[in-house]
Amino acid sequence: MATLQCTTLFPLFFQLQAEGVDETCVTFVLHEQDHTLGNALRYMIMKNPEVVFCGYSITHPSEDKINLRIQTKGVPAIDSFRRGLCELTTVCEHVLATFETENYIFSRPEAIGILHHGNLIGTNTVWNQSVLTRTCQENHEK
Amino acid sequence: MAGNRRVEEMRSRVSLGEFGVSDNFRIDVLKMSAEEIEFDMIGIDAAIANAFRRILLAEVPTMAVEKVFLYNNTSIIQDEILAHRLGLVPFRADPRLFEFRSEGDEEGTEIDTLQFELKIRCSRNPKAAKDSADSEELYMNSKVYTRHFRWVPLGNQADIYEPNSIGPVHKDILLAQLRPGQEIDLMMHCVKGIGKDHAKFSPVATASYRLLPDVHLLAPIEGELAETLRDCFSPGVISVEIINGKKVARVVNARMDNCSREVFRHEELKNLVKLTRVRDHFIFLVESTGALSPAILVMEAVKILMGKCRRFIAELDADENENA
Repeated sequence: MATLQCTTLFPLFFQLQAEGVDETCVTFVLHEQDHTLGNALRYMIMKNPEVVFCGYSITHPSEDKINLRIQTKGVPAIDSFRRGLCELTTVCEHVLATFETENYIFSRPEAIGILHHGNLIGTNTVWNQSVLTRTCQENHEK
Repeated sequence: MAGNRRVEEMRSRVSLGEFGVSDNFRIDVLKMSAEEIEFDMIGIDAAIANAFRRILLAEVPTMAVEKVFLYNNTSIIQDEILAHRLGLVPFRADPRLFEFRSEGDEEGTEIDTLQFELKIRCSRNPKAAKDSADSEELYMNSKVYTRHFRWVPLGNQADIYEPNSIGPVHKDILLAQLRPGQEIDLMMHCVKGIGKDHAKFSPVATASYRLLPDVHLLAPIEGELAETLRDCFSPGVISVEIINGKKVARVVNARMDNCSREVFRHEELKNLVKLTRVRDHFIFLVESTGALSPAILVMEAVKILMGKCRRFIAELDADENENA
């Protein structure tokens, strides 16, 4: 695979070939990114058992880009990059949905905060009863 | 090999289920007000929690004064100092209803700019007592506050926004002081920006997280030692109960511990207590400056991280279609 270049107006990334003609060891250069996406993405990509090595670095603090290197056992690295991105999106969606639900429950007028062992737990509406019991159990185990 | 072990440990540290995050993931909102939210995120890894924190600080957009057009400034506050102070004033305007200003655009349009005017002149108060020394009494308009801002609607902004809903968050921020004869006459343009560009665009007073402290008693601690142990920690962490006539210490609420590690200064207690942190329990505290409510800020931060991922996925798709 030859070197690819993005033809969109603002090239967001292009792929650097690292090891001859090998698509399992690739270094991606992501522009205008820093530890925010780099670390989160590295974590998600490492979860993939096919990935042998994944790391990112900021080559120079004055330059706004990161190098993300992925080495896999046999799968094309670009696939594990895409998979990492998709999984991170799924995690974010789940976090957003959970937060929105909790937020809604917390702000309902009939939800009241209760004190348990001096610890303000949150709401005690019926929906959240299982959460409440779980938190109580954790406190008891300590 | 140590390397393999570390990798395995990292892979299994936080278990993610089939859909990314399993039932282990939970969010508990503990305190919520118009300015502040305290919530727990349990079952997520530090990399992602930190990404949210970084985005809250630097990448959630806000509206702030960027350009100040000074027509007249005879006060002793220099032009640039006054402009700097104006830039730091938080404005109550929902940034999601505005767009970023495009590069090189000098004139503001109604979709990306809010215009405010500050026109104030200080004069002597004829009704003041002869020998008063208080500047408030002697002069009129001697102190310039944010409540002296006047909103100048552009285009159709007057139809869209209520006049009282657009303005600085706090009406009593002191910007400058004047004496009779001095005047300030300026126009400011408020634009949308992100904290990465300038800290004035950061929507949070601060956003931080800490890990839940974990206090384990390795052996039963009784009697006077229990009282000493209780005093080593913040109030509420350890409680001393009477069981079978003896005082026994018990960990009640490790969350209230502020990690002073005072317990390690006592020889007899040092080896009986283990202080660690729960690795996947994050206690977030987000304080908003007032433009958006803190709960909305957190949701925007999550959406921004999603947006970043989606942009790269779209890039990958575009590339594939080209080379296919």
